[in-house]
Amino acid sequence: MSNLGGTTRAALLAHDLRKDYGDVVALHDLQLEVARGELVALVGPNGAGKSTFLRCAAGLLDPSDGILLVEGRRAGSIEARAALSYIGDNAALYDDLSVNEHVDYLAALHGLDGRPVSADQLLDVLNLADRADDLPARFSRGLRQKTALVLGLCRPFSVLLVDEPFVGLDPAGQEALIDLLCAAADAGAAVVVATHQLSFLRHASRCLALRDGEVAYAGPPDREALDTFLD
Amino acid sequence: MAVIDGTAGRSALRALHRARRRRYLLDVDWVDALYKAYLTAIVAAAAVFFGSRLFGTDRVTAAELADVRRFGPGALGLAVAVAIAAGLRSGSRGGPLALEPSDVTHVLLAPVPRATVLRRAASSQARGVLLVGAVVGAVAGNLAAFRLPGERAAWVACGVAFGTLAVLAAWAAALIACGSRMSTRTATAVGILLIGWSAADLALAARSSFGSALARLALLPVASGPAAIAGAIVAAVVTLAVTAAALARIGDSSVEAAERRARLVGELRFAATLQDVRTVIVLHRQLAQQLPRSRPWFGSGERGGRRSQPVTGLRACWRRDWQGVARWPGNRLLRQLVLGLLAGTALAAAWNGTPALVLAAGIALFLAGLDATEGLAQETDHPIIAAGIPIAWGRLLLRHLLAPAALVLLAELAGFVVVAVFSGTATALEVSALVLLPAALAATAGAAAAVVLGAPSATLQTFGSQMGLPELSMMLVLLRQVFPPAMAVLAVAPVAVAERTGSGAVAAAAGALVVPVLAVAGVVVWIGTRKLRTA
Repeated sequence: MSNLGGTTRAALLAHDLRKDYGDVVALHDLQLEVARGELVALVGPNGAGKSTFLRCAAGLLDPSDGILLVEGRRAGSIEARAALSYIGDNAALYDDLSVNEHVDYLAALHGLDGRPVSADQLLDVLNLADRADDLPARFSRGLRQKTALVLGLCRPFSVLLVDEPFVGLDPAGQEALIDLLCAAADAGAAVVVATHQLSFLRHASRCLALRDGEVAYAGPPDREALDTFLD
Repeated sequence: MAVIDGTAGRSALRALHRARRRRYLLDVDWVDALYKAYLTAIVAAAAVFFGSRLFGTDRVTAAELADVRRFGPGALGLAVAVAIAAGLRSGSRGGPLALEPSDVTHVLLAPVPRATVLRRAASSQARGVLLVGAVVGAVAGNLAAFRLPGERAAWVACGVAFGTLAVLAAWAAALIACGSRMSTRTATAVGILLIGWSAADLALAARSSFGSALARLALLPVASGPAAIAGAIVAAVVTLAVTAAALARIGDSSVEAAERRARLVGELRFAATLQDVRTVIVLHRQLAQQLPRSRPWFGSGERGGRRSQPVTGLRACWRRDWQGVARWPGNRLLRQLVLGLLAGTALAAAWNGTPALVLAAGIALFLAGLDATEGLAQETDHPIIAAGIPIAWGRLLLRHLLAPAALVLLAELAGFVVVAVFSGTATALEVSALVLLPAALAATAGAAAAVVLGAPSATLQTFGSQMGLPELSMMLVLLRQVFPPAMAVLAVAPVAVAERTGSGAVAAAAGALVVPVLAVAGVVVWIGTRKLRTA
């Protein structure tokens, strides 16, 4: 879990960010800034560019143009990867490693000395402790999603990007996840959650609404104000 | 936040490798694995033994040997250039490495130097690539020893060296294109340049290109000398230098391309395991980014306003199929042409004393047929659409066979030109003209059968085991998968039959066409009686 102290520098910064897929413009000169300690809800209709933005910031997509910085470093650079944890909407897990083996492996890749203490807490909170020695390849979608959350949250990070995390989770899992996201922000991480679940807005400190690859609304998570922008 | 250096990254990757290996060794069924290895060894030995005879054992004449010495380096060099061009294009789309999706998400996004991760994956892939090159080179050297003068051991050794370096060159070209994020256009342009250079070498019997220089290594048993040895050494050194440069730049590869490739290759391997030909084709097209054009090359010729009566039945399918062809990307059209030329080249070689090459001609036409039957395949991909059409499923499928047959025939015409140039006899032309239409129909019918059959069912795959004969299932599945391409091979086999006959060649070829024509009729009846299953 992040325990960084807050600073004024933006943890995540996009300036004139553009991403094209051939003729289709997914992100159109996007301007965006997220500070440490913020819990930002990223909302918008399908195709608005939410996932594209998160994947660009994670280094999975190459921006077509513009600037995208994570903790002042180019997104996708080794320093940015050390600072940023990305949890995608489709859990990518090894077929032949158990949950515990995943944790150990990723801990080693992130330079941790041994197994992270937070891993066992996360397994407990997300009700996965009993399945930690099982292969996630045999899990349901919800359990795979929980495994991905454990892996994304047990490593060190100062920026956390989560794409549609509530899909497939049971109500208890959703509540536990919200608590974990709030705790990460309270500990000083910049947390961005892309979601269609507008009830999450009440937990967010700020809301960013995307439409056609641009920021249509940036401000307090006010449901009524947001509706006017999204309609 | 911790940034991990190369050593720590390597040790983490080694730990993962060890953990996975342990699990693999625990899961593996050794009796089954040894049995499969035993079967593979027997089949491979039989294929090499009997295959060698099929490629002909008659010694070449002095004039033919002179041609081999003169044009051999150019011809093999052209093959090397084509392989390098293919490698460049693959690299421009993120190849040749294919990571697991989880490796992209967890390892490439971890603070570990990407070069460390990718070099490890590359060295693992290189071992397989080099083995394939060595085996193919050894088999080719062995085949050459039957017909060309020189020691068999020398041919095999040169074949292994050439095969290894040729595949290494193509693989390194792909890595260079990937690591330098070369655009597909640039990769295509460089590839065309290399192919053009090698083609000029072939036409002028020169040895100026990289491919020709490397090819001299393969032909050392019949064309040795200081110049040949020096050329081969230079080409080998260049290949190794390019490989080293490629590995040095590998860390700059695009993660975006790696992720797309990881996903598609994973699905492709799964589809190949299920022997699902159609899914393999669709995924391969996605991997090669062969997407339909948003602007068609040509119009269908019938617009709503000018139509006097509704287009129904056969005409609707014919038009729909050509509309699909009009949106083919350029490389798919080019592939159709190349497959036609390949078929023609193989048939010309079959006529000139290597009858086994009818196999290559048939397979090339079958592949052309698979590309051409896209309209039919789209119907099988989306049966729910056909469920709302008041036409019987089988009849609908049959209506989608006409345009593909015409398309394969067009590709064959390009091959016919090659036969005309290289076979040099009127009889060869007559025989080739005779098989044109049946071959187009057989390739189309075979391809359509492969698509309509789909992947072998679980029932078929377990049928033998239930009877206590697991080999029976294997044989049935093999027959089922081999039958569609075999139709195209049978339809061009009359060329080999005629070549062996001497006088009365055309009549012999006509006689040999009876079986493939009956097979086409059988497949047409079978497709026409298919019932729609949307479940």
